[in-house]
Amino acid sequence: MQLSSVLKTGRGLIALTALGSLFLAAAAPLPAVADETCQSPYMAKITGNEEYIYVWTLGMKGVGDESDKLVTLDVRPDSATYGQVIASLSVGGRHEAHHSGFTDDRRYLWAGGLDDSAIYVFDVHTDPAKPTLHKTITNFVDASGGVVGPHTFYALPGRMMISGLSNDKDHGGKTALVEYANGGDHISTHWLPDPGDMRGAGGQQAADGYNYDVRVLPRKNVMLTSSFTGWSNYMMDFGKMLQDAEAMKRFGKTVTLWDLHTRQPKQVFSVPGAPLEIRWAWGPNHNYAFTTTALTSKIWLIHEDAQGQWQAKAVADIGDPSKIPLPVDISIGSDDKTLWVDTFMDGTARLFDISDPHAPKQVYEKKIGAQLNMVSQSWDGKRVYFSTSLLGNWDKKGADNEQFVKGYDWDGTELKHRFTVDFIKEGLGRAHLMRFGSHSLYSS
Amino acid sequence: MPALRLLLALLLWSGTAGAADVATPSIVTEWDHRALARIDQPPFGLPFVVPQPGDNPATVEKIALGRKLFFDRRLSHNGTMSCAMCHVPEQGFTQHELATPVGVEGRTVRRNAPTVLNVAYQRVLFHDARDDSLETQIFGPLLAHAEMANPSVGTVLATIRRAPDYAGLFEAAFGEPVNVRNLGQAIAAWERTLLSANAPFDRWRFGGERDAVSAAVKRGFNVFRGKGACTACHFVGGDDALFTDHEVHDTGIGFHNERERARNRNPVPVEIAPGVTVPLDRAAVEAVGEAPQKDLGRLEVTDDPDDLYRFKTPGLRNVALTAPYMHDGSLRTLEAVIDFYDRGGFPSPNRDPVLQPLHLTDGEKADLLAFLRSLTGDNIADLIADARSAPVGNVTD
Amino acid sequence: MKTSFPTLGRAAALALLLSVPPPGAAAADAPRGIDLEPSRAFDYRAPAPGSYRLPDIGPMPDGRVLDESGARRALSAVVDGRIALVSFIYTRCSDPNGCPLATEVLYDLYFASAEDRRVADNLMLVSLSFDPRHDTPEVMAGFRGAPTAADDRRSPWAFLTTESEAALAPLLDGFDQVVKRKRDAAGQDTGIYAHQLRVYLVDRQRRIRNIYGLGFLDPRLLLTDVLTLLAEEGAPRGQAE
Repeated sequence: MQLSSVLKTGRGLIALTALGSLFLAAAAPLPAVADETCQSPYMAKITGNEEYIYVWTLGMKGVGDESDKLVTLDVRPDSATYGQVIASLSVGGRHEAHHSGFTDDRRYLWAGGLDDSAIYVFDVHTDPAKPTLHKTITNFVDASGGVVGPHTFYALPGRMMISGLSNDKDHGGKTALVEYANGGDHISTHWLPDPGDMRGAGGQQAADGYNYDVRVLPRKNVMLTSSFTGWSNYMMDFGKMLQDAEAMKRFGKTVTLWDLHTRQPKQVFSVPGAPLEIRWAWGPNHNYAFTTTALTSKIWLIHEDAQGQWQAKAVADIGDPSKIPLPVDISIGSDDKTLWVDTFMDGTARLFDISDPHAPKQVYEKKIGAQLNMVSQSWDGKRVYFSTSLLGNWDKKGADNEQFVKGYDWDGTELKHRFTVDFIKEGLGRAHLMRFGSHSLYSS
Repeated sequence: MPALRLLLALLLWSGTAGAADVATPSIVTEWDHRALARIDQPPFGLPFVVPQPGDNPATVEKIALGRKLFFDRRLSHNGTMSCAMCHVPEQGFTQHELATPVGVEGRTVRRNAPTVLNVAYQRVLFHDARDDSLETQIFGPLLAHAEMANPSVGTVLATIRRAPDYAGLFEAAFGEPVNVRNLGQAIAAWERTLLSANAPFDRWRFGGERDAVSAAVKRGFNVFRGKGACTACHFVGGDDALFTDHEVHDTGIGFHNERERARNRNPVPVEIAPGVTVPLDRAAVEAVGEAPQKDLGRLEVTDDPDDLYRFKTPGLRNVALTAPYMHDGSLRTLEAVIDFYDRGGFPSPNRDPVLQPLHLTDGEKADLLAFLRSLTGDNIADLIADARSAPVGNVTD
Repeated sequence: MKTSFPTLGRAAALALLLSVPPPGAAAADAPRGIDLEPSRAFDYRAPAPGSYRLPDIGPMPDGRVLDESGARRALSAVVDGRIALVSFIYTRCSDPNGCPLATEVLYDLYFASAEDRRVADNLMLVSLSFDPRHDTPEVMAGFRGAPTAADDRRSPWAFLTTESEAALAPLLDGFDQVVKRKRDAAGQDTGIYAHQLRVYLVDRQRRIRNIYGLGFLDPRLLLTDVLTLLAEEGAPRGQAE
């Protein structure tokens, strides 16, 4: 019984690091953890090498069964099937498969469809090598009060925080955050502040009511959301949209700071050009997050200043913004020193040194393919995985529509190619979000 | 008088509501009685009799049912598109946010969504005038692959039969279960009530209220019917006006835009942030874009070469609310439309001879704009509230 | 080894004496008996009670439990119409970020309740073991320690276990609480559980209103949430979430 020793240390012990073993209650020394760096930090973590990558894959006309599917790749280094597809589970039909996220106990993977707002809950703990479909939620729009396009699935204790992208009234960008219990029932809906109803938040001039990603920093009791565009735009042919001046006016230009505990929006920041993925720094004293703007190709820093005020500012360009390289996914190193940035149009991965968060500097770049979207890295940063698909109707056409997952080793100076899975040749579809799995999560 | 009739209708309705058979759920509300009253006595400036087919006279039950159907996203192949997703009440019952809509799975619709306001008076429907009945029009979008994409009419009927919230509603409105005929009739019944006039122009021109419009509007109307020759196609009657001849014309815009799309290699101006536009290499745009689809206009219906690039004359009521303009949404503002016609349209081998350069002065253009803005009906907020009295239909199981 | 509450009580009492309430923070409904200052782990001002609404997450499951005396009771009867904080633990847990953390936070609430009759009269603390084979009623009673006179001024705290894993299962399932016995390489039970740390806030209608996990177990938030539920009871009902 060690209760007294814990109590003597008081609240200081509650100070936790993301490195803490969350799931394993053993007092044994912690093995080096190697999980991907962009998960909710309050979730069970993989100790050791990730074993599987779950790729939420869009069905593609003319490829295989043309349906969305969860594809499992084997990335066990000593496996005979390393770098190969070992399972594929089709959900039937195309739903604009996009992002996915584990529950806090990491037993289930929630994967959303941005088109019809279907949510698929996969059991990834019974057999991590072969996920099964546990539950399908088809009434998200109805239950949420009209939110369309479940995007980010972010684990909070016992529940999922889901960012919507659109609404059922006009398929525009006005939308909300939606909370679901892990069991699959709707809990509550929180609409983004917009100029007509700021919900008590400051920054009315900037507000647009749009949403994209959601990430929390409980240590500061804050939550950040970013902003993209509504159903009409994200579902539209990309070439058509770029030529539609009306459509191009309908992109998000805000990051919103929320009180995490009360779910009340506090401040809307002007961040023009569609800020997408948000990543909080990990360090226990690092009160800042990064986002990148897709259209204006900038890295933005959201930070708490010396006076305790939260601020947003652009801190770096990504590539040549005048060519619209379209930065999409980002991945922050667990030491807060590096940030991977994928740009879709030129298919390039860029590494930024962010040790001074106010002045990121590009230190490396490599063309990965004709197009590039998601990037996931292991906790130790030594393995980096890339995938290609952005949105069904935004992906490149013809020969440039490469669809793959590529695995690389990163030695600090160079990406070294390990494997490629060609998702078209394998009859799978468009490779999108990657999440890591491992048996070690569910056994000693 | 309308108020009295409305009151009577409400009294009658509330008097019978209590006696309604509990097995026949009613979704009829005050909004339906007000909508029916609009058909009985349309807003001032519209023709006094609202055309209705003899076999589909409006009733409150049909109107309520039609509205519910109009807002039901389940009526598309994958539960995403209702009629109202492209005919958005708050956006002039059309769509401001896109030049041309996107349908199921984001498929490209070639043509701008026309407003549903005052559609009751339209003798022909669609930009290529391919239908002449609101009752049958609905099957176009319901079945179009790029719109609501239902694989068959039967699928739509089955969807409605399966939905518990429709139980008894068709029976109450038509005395029979849902079928291909009463489905179109119900939606048409509500659409027909979306009447909006009594605009400042109406009160001045037809009502004799001198101060209902500004001097600029009056001058603009003179340009409209005089130097501008707009009334050659956008008819104005002596007692009312619909601002359309219900015919198709080639203004040159179809010919011009198709040709430009094929040969223009200039960079595409892309607005990447409010007020910040960058020229994007056309090859980069084409790399992420599907091949363009041609739009041949009325010829697609008739195969008559004379109908190449001919499109229907739209009515102009509430035109200030229905941007962007033209069959392809290619003109974003009324100013751009006025400039287009001032030029005499675009050169085209088949261009209607009525289109000639107008040589309008800046003052005349401003007056014309003021006139067009005087055509907005006085009950738009009411019609939006009417529309939103129906819940959006979504998948519930 | 057993640890009794009087020992712990002194440590916490000392901590309380050393803490100074922030100036101007003595609003009528402000939490009392707890350090309101931001800490390194929870570096913010806690929201005011009643300034927000807690959603209804779902029903609290019911099930058969054993209290410290070994009496069989329904969990709902133990809670007895009070607002409850329910914490799943096992007494052999040695992970500082596991059960001891949850118990420590409940202890903060327990102590704070002595300073605020609203909390003492309306809140119930529940520690429920998910290790019925080891954590018998006797072990739970020992874990609790001997009652003291001061207990009467505080929220009641039940230390519960179950008759068997079969009796426990519906409770774990209903709360969606994952626990798994860890085995060693030879397949032998290690006596250690892998578990997801969770504490549940349950209202008087036995609806779950919040779930706390690692990183969210700020005692100020738990107390604020309890006071928010009390404020909600005083306010007119019917405002939909």
